[in-house]
Amino acid sequence: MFYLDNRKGQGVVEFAIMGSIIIVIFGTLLSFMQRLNDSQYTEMETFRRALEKACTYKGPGVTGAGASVQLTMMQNRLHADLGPNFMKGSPAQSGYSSNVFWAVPKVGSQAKSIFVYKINEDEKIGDYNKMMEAAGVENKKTHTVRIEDSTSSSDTHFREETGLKEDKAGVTNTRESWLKDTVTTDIYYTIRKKDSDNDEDNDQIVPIAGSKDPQLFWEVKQGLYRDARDNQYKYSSAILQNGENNHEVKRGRSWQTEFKDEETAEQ
Amino acid sequence: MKKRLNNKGQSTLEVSLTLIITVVLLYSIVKIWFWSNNQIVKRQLEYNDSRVIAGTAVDTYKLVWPLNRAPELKEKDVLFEPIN
Repeated sequence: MFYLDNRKGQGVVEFAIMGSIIIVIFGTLLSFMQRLNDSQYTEMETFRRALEKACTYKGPGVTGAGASVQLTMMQNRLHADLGPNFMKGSPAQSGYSSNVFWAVPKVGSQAKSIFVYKINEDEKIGDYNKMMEAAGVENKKTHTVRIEDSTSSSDTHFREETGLKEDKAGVTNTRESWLKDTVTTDIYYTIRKKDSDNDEDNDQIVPIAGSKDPQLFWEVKQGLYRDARDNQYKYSSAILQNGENNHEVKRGRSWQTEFKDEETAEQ
Repeated sequence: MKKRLNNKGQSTLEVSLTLIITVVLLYSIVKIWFWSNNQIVKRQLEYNDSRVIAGTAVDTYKLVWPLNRAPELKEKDVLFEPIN
């Protein structure tokens, strides 16, 4: 009898389970689609930036133009978030690397060989030869500069407010959120002496300043902001120059219901 | 007897509702998926068109990026009356 009384709810329960599964599938596909789109966009941009850097690079002491460039791009983006937080977004990262050798050095001189890291809106150039000189390596042909794993950490603060204003004219609903996100990326490197095999992992690490630990190449701290040119959310270190608390992104929307009195409605 | 007949109708109604919502959701997923794929195709065409300029060394060489693309989906397209 108890079973029969609850049979009316059977369909609702089944729908609740099935609906949840469909929403999970929907979210997974949406997330995959955004990642695919972003990674492909980053891939294109990386190659174009590597071309530009290789063609136009003129470092100190360079005769001629251009260089052999290895450019790596890392981009942090906010993806759509199916969670209940209003416009919070889900952090995602895409990266790609391109190599371009497009140098026209003066006859008899060698082309420069550099690597470039572009993390969101910031960029840092590394010179293999200078790094080896700084580490006291004399024979550059027997050594390599190797970028080790990079680490990334973020600090996110999010708050949200909902409002309801009711008067004779109607009801106005507002929903606003404030997001402050800071991402810190660290990139480390080692200098290794080549051995007879092709496996770079087992090459001997050359100590720098007495330590064989990976050395910090670049640490960059970037804050989230909205670029007014294309309305996209981006990260930049410049946004933190005005103080770390002044880069909050505000989003919101409002919707209202208007009341009409009887006389107006009749007309 | 009457109760049993109603129970059968209840189930049919619930299944109908579930199926309608399922079809709407699936349709939305497919439409968004197509929109995303079309973005990649359009972008690739523009990328190919600018390939020669990007690969030609001239004294006034400039970065051929971003592509001259139609604006993507913006907040105002999905939010009504955004508050800035």
